Amino acid sequence: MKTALIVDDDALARRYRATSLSAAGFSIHEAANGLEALELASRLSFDLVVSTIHMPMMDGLEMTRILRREESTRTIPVALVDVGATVDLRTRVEVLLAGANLYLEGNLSVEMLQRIARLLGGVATA
Amino acid sequence: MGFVPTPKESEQGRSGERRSFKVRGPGMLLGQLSDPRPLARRWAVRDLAAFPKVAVPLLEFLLQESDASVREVIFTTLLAIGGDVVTRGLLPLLQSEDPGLRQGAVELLQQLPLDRSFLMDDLLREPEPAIRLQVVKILRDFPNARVVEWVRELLGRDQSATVCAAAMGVLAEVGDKDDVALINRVQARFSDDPYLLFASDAAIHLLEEEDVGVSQGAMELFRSFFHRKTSIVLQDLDCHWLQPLLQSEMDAIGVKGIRGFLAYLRCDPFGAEMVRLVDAARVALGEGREGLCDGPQNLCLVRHLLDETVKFKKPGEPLRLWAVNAGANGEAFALMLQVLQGWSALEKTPVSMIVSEQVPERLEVARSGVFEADVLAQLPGDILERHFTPLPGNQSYRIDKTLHDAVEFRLLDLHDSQQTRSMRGFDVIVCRGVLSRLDLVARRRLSETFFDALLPGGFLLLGVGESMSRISSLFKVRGFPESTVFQKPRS
Repeated sequence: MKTALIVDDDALARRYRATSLSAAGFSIHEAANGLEALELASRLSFDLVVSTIHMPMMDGLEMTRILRREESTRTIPVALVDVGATVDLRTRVEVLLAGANLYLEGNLSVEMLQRIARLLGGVATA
Repeated sequence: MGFVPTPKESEQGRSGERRSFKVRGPGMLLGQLSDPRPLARRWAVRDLAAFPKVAVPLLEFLLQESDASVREVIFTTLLAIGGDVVTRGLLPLLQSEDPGLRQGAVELLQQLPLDRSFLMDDLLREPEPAIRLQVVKILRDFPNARVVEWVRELLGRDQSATVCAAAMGVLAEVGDKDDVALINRVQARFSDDPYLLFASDAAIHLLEEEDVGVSQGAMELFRSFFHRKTSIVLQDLDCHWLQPLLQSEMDAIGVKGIRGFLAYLRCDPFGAEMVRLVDAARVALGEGREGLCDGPQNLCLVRHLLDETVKFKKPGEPLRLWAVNAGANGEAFALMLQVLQGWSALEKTPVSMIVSEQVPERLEVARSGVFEADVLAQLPGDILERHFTPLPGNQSYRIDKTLHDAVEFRLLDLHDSQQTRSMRGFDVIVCRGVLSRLDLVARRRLSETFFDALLPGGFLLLGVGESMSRISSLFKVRGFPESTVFQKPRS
């Protein structure tokens, strides 16, 4: 089974994405900020990371930069989600520079999340 | 080689070691903020905490400072100073394009212990949804009875689905059954937003459950709160163990439901109740008794960390270890024995160890080198025989004099910056079960102390369930098969 790491400081948002990706065939781990995510990634291997951008302690951009620097995590697909309700060109550019595979704006439907996760995480579509 | 006594001050030639530090005035400290060395700026900012009137220049300095380690110390000092000036000074940072400043402001505004109701009404009406979203995050752990009122008002008028969805999470913690009607109206307003519908259904589910005792829903709310406050993730089995304690804590303070208990904890998130819950959680997670047993972290130390550290040493240069509050429970000697047993390079590398204790009585126990038999129960027989002498009655053992004499025992108040700033040049710091018992300012201060005490590339080993991930972003996370540890970056 493929494994996904969901990163968000909002527990409900984590659960929303966890429920969606779980139904898409992923085993799920959760972290509440970028540092917690890096702690998990240092001892577990993941096929996909879906993270929000704005979080305390370490945001999704910095987390992605560090994942890309480390040998063991540099190829994990990362999708960064911005639910900040403001479309921001600067953030889009920063997401690309940080090395994320995908930038998602707003709250996606369960179906859309699942399609994206399957594509990025390498899960065969039913 | 092997374990060697810590060199005396005169031999060390470290001018900062144990000397008394002259207390400087705010003018001189503010002048030191332009020092090119981040370490000097960090300590100036720490010392400025004694002068609340410097809040304004410190806020201005925060905007100019680019070094992350200095910024962290500034945030901690502002948190320690607190008050209206700091609160108002932080508000513009919520709109900063710099994520470090923005998130730092959110974290501080959550913690500053004063009544900011006069500001909250305005902030929740900010035209920019991204700012309102940050303010809702502040409300989540805001110790004020008006939170529920603010959240209800926001949900009644806000036009952003994202902001409302975040507010649903807050309402689930602070609201009651009567809020279901309000949630239904919000759902009708944003009927095409899948996440809002999910969040509001979850809130309804939790609010409709009777708020009495430690139900499944109550545990869900507690888990989320506990994770936010401590970074400890509770699994179902941990919750099973914690449930009776949670119930007895609720009974003791006279609340019937989890919402009342969480409101109580929000007002005193580092009080005795929280410490008991954290201790219980750590036991549930497997910390157990910290005796002279081989922990996974000690194995990690001898299998990976020491080898990595010694690569950067000159021949004959000692490795320096600091075991924090680890003498009286024998933890420091467990570490020594593990190194003796498991690290072959010890033969050619000198290692010195300082064991600090905060309380004189515990220091005396540590210095005595005598341990109860049950503390040694997990020790292999040959180790016991080789390094310990049974005392009359066989109820206790004395550790070998050579090992005992190689350790420097030091009384050290971790919260006294005059004392801790003399702790410098360590390769490894072991600090288990200390951070989780401290309030936020003390945690941040101690993490800053460790950062300065470690050499570049030095390692910090924390206890089970403890993490830097809610305290400081200055340390690098390093994962090893045995354990996760934190490292001060080399550059």
